[in-house]
Amino acid sequence: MSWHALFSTLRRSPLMPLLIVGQIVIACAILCNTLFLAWQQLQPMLASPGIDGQNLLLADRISGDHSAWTDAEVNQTLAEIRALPGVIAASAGYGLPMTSGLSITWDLRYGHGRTINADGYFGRDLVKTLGIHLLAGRDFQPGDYRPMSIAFNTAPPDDAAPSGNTVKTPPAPTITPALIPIGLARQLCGGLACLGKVLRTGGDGDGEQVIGITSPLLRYQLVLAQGDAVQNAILLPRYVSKPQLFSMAIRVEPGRQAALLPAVQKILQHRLGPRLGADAEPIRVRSYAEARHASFSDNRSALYMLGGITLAVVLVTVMGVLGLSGFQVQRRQRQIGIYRALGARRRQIMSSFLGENLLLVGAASMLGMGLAWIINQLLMQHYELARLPPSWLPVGAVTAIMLGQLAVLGPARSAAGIAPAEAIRSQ
Amino acid sequence: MWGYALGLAWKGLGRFPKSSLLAVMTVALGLAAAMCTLTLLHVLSTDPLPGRSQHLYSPYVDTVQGRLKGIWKNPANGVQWQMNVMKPADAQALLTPDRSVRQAAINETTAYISADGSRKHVNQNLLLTTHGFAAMFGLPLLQGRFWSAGEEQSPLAVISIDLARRLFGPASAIDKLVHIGKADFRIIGVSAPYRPEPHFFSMNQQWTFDASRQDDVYLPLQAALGAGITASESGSCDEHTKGGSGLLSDISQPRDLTHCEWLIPWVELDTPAQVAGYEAFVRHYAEDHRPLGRKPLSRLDSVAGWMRQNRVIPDHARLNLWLAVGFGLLCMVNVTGLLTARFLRRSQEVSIRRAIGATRRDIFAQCLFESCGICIVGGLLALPLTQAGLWILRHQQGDYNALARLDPAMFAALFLIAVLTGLLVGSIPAWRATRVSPGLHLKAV
Repeated sequence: MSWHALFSTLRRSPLMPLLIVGQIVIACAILCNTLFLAWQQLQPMLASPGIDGQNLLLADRISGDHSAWTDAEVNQTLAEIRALPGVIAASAGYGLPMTSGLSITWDLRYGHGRTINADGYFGRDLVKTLGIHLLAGRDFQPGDYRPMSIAFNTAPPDDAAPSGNTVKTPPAPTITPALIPIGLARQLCGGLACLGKVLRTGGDGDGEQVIGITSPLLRYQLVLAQGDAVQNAILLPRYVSKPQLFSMAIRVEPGRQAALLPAVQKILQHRLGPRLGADAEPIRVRSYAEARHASFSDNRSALYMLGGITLAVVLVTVMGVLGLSGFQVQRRQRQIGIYRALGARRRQIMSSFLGENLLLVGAASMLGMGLAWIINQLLMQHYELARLPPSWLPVGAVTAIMLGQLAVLGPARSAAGIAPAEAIRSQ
Repeated sequence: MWGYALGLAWKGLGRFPKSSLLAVMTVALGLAAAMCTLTLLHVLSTDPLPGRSQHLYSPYVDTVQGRLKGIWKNPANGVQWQMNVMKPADAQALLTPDRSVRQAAINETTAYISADGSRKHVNQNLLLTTHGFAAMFGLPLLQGRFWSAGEEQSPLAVISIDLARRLFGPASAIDKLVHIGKADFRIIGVSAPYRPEPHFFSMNQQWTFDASRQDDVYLPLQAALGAGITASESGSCDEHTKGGSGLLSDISQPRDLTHCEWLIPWVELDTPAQVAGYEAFVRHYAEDHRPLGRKPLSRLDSVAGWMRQNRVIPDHARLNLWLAVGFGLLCMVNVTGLLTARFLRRSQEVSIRRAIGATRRDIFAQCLFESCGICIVGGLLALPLTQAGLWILRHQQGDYNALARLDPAMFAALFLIAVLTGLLVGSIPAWRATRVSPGLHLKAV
C-alpha cells in the first residue's frame, strides 16, 4: 500500500484514527509526567550513599525532655560503647544519614558563583565511623574540632522534636576546615580543584576551607535530594556538646551487628535515659539498613502510586489501540483481500498497518510531548514542582510509540493472514 | 418513542457482552481514579471552621532586633513555613479590645499533668490562651464554662471530655483539681472533642492534618506562665537576649521570653471596614516598631490566606488529582472508541431501521441511551472501586490520608459525573452512527 493510499484512507474516515491519536496524546502527556516524577522519587534511593552501610548501627533522635546532657554524660556513654568487644568506632553527631532529627544547613558560595544550601554533618571522627571515603586531601585532626550545642530552652511540642525542620545557623566566625563531597565540589569550584579553596558562608569573610574531598555523599534531607542537589552535604569539625537532640553512629565488626544492638541499646538507655522524660519512648538503635528502609518509606509509597497510574495508563492505551485497530482491520477486509489478489505480499500488508500506526502514534507523541510540557509549566506555577527537563519528554514519547506499535501488532498479523479469495467472497 | 429507544439500548447492551464489559470497566476505572483523588482534595480543602474562619485573622509584625532568625521549612516541599509568632509586648499591643471584635493569643506547649492526688503523670499538649478563644474558635462546651476576662490570672482549666474520662472516669470533672507545672488548676469546663482540620490556629506544621492529635487542656496563659509552665518558642529572639538569640541557645541560663517571638495573635474582624482599619493599624505599628536596619514588615493573614501561603494542602494531593483527571480523560477517549466500533458494527441493523422509517434522531437517541447505560453501570461499579481506593489511601502512611472518606455530596457528584460522561462520550459515536448510509449496507445484506 503506498503512502498515497494510506493518506486517502485516513482522510476518508478520520474518526477512528483521530481517537487513536487522542488516546496517545493523553497517554504520552501523562507518561512523561509520571515517569519523571517516579525518577525523582528513585533518585535518592539509587544515589550512592557515600558511606559504608554494612556493620553500622544508628541511634536516632536522642531527645532530652527538659534539659541537655552534659559533655561528661555523652563521653561516658561513647566510652562504654567503644569498650564493648566488637565495636570499632562510635560517634555522636548532628545530622547523620537516614536519621530524621534536626537538619542544619549551610549556605556555601565560592567566588562569585551561586549560593548552594548544603546539609551539615557534625560529629567527631565521622569519616571513620561512617566509613566515608576520601578522594583527596585529609580528614580533620583532633585539634580542628570545636564544641557545638543544640538545645531548646523548653520541650519541643509533644514527643516530636522538630523533625525535618531546618534551622539556619549563624555562620562560623572564622575560617574553619571542611570536607565536601565531589558532587558538591564540582558545582562549587570544579571538582578536585576545590581542595584548599575557601567557601564563603556569610558576607563578613567567614568561610570554610576545603581540606578534603569525599566520594559521592548523599545529603540527609532526602526530600531535597534531587537533580543537582543530591550531594549537597558538608562535613564540619564540630563535636556534640551539651546536646538536647542528637544522634549516634556505631561501627561494629562484620557479623556482630545483631549481637551488639541490644548491648548498645542498654548502655544508651542506662546512661542517657534519665533525661529522656518520664514517659518518653526508649532510645531506639537500628541497623543502617533498617533506618534506610524506614527513611525511604514515603518514596516507596509514592512509587507504588505512580507505578499504579503508569500501569493503568499503559493497559487502557494498549486495549484502546488494539480494539480500534482490530475494528479497522475488520472493516478493511475486502480492501485487503483485493490488495492481496493484486499481488501484495503478507509482509507488505503487515508493514502498511504498522506504518500507518507509526505515523499516527508518532504525530500524537509530538503533540503529547507539547501537552506534557504545557501541563508541567502550569503545575510549576501553582505548586512546588520541579521543572520537567526537556530531555525527559522523549522518554514518554518513545514509551507511547512502543505501546502503539505493540498494540497494533496483533491486528496487523491478522490482517496479513487474510486470504484473498476469502476476503472478496465474505461481503 | 423514547421508551422504544430505551428498550433497544437495553437489548444492545446485552448483545455484545464482552465489549460492554470492557467499556463498563474502563469507565469505572477512570471515574474511580478521579473520584479518589477528588475526595481526598475535597476533604483537605474544606473550611476548618465553617461560618467562623472567614472572620478570623492573624496579624504579624517583625520587631526582632538583629539579623538572624529561625527559618522553619515544610519538609514535604521545602517551602518556608510562616508562623505568626510575636513578642509578648507586641502581641498585647495588637490585641487591644478596641480594634477588633474578639482577640486571643495562643501558645501550644506540653507539660506533665496529673489528677489531684494521683501519682500518674501524663505528658499532655496544652493550649495556653486567653478568654476570647472559646467564643472566637467555637469551642463546644459540654459542661461548665470558659474563663472570663477577670480570671486570666486564676489557676483554672478547661479540659476535653476524653481527658476528663481518662483522669476521672465517669464522674464529673467539674471543680476537680489537676496538677500542672507547680500549681493546681481547678477544672471549670469540659469541652466536646474539638479538632478542626487542618489544625490551623496553632500554626504548627506537624499538627496540620494529624487526626491523632487534639487539644485536651486549655489554660489561661498568664496563670500557666505563673505556674512555671514553659511556653514553646520559635527560636527567634532579639540579639543579645539573655540565654541566646537563636535556636542554638546557651542553655545554662533560662531565656528571657520578653525578647522572643512565641505568641500567636488572632483577632475576629466581622466587616470589610474593620479588616481595612485593622490592617492599617498593624501597618502603622510595624512602621513605628521596625527593627534597626530593616524595612518594616507586617501581615494580616486570613485563615484561607495563611493556608494558601504555607501550602497547607499538600502539593501532591493536587498533583495526583491532575494525574487522575488525565487518566479519566484517557478512559473517556478509550470508551468513545469502543462505542464507535460497537455502533458501526451494527451498521446493517441501523440501515434497516432507517429504511423502514426511523429518523436520524431515533438512531441518535438509541445510541446515546446505550452509552449512558454503560456509563451509569460504570459509575455503580466505580463506587466500590472508589471505596477500595480510599481504603488503600487510609492505610498508607501520611498524616492526612486517614481523613479520606467518601461523603454523600461526593457520592452524588459521582453519579452526576457518570451521566455527564455518558452523554459526552456517547454523542460522537452516536452522531457517527446516524451518518451511516443505508443503501450501501442494505446492498451487502
